[in-house]
Amino acid sequence: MLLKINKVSKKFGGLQALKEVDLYVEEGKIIGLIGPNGAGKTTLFNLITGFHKPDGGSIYFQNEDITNFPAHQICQKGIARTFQIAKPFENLTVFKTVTIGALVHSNTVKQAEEKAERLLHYLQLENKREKLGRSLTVVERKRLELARALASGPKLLLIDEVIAGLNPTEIDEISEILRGLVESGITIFMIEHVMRAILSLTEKVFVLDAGAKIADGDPKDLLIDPVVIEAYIGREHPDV
Amino acid sequence: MFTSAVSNDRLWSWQNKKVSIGLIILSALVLGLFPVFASSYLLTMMITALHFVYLAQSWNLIFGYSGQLALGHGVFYGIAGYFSTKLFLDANVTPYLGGFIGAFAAAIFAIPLGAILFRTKLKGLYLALVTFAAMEILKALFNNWKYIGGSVGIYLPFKSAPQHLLFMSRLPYYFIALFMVLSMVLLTILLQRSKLGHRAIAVRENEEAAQASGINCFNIKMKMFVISAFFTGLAGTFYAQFMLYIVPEIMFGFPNVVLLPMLGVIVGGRGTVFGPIIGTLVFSILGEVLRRVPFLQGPQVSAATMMLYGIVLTIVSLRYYSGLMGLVEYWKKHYPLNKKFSQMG
Repeated sequence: MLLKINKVSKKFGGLQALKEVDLYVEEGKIIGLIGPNGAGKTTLFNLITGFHKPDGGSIYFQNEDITNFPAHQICQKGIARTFQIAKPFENLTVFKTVTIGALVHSNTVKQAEEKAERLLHYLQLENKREKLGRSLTVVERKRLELARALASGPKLLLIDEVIAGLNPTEIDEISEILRGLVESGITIFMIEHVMRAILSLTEKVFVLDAGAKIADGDPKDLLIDPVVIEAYIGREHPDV
Repeated sequence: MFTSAVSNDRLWSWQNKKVSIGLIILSALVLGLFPVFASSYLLTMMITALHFVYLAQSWNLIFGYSGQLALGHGVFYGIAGYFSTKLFLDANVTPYLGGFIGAFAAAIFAIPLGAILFRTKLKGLYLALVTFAAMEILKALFNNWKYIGGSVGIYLPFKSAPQHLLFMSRLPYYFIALFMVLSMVLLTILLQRSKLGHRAIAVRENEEAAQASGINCFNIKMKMFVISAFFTGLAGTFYAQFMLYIVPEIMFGFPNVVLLPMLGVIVGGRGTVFGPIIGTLVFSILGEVLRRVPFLQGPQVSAATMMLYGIVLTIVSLRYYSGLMGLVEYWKKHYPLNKKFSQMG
């Protein structure tokens, strides 16, 4: 098991963002994480990547307890993430940003630059090479997030809504890229609202609602699961 | 609106190289021949200006490259200046060595100070206030510390002793200051290309994204803070040996140590190699010009200088926040020297 989450809880003031969530991610697959707004999906990502500390429970990565590791160390261990609201280095070029991402496992800046060059090519960002972070469109920013995260050479990649907002062609492009990544040995755990992408990409999906895991399994089965439907659109009123 | 990102166009970098080499030769000639033609007054002014340029370059490391608004660099300047002066006067340690010992002392002092600042994740205005307060506290301590002369200060002997960094002529000071500035140019260029430099810039731009890229923000801020403190310290010793008089009011004083370098970095272009140099020189020259305005007398001069500083700073902060270097980049992009080449490119 690449990633194992045991009974993780997190409270923000009076709000129980996550309560005793159990989850696991197997190596070499694309795993989905879905749920309505406010279900705690991004919070879970923040806990895994060390940006928040859980109030209870534990997180294991490759059988190592990483629950209380700081964010930068978790990245060094091999978990990379993208942010839902992209955080580009506003005054730096695309190339510089990816180079910085690649510094983690590079001995020299030159080595990191070579790696960045390859990634820009792979993600078809070459023509944006010298553009500044702040001048990018939302779609470009998301792609840059992906490039920056990949640059750190992760074993597990957490993707927070990289597909939402793309047009069908772009969705196909990104899907192709993600499949390629899995083939190259990277495991992907992704939050996504676009069901088309979830259905075509993931082998297994976890469903969160109001901080609790309510279902998991094959995405096709889950979409007709009454519990999941209820979480998304509510229950039929008895009087109707 | 203007940026410090350099275009990577091949033709441009080729042209850039020619222009840069020309500029370097020209500045070498001007700077090398300057003392031959300059009056003693002008030479003193230039030494002071270079001293501030050097301070700006040192401060640029923490603010320009790492984005940390630390305003208390007088702490390091003062500690190092006093350390080397005391070593020289009481233990006869030559300031060539004492300067480095003093700078080391300043850097060592920067470690606990930085640890407090950056562990508590102070940022922006709060960081500025706390560092400023640290400087005021040390000033008060030194003002009341008899052993180092208290608020009366310490005089250094007025004599020629080259082995102790004391000269009757201004000329050696000029070349020492110039050497310090040039070393700092080299150091900044090396830093820009290093892993540390890249990481510092990432921390400046966005700490969360930096962390997500495996960067230990605390560690990077500490390193840059200590390095900046060390080089600021060297300037403290230079000042002591040049002015032959140190007093806490000056050595730990915001107006003397921090103000002009800060303006120089912001107006010249933060996080660039040449921005702090250009910015600080512009301000030094502006100050000198105001001194020559016939209808301004005595205190009016310094009041007018402060007003002018304020106006320039406001304009830059509002409109051209990447400073004069940003303006240069903008010109290079929009008005290339050789249109034919740029069209071909």
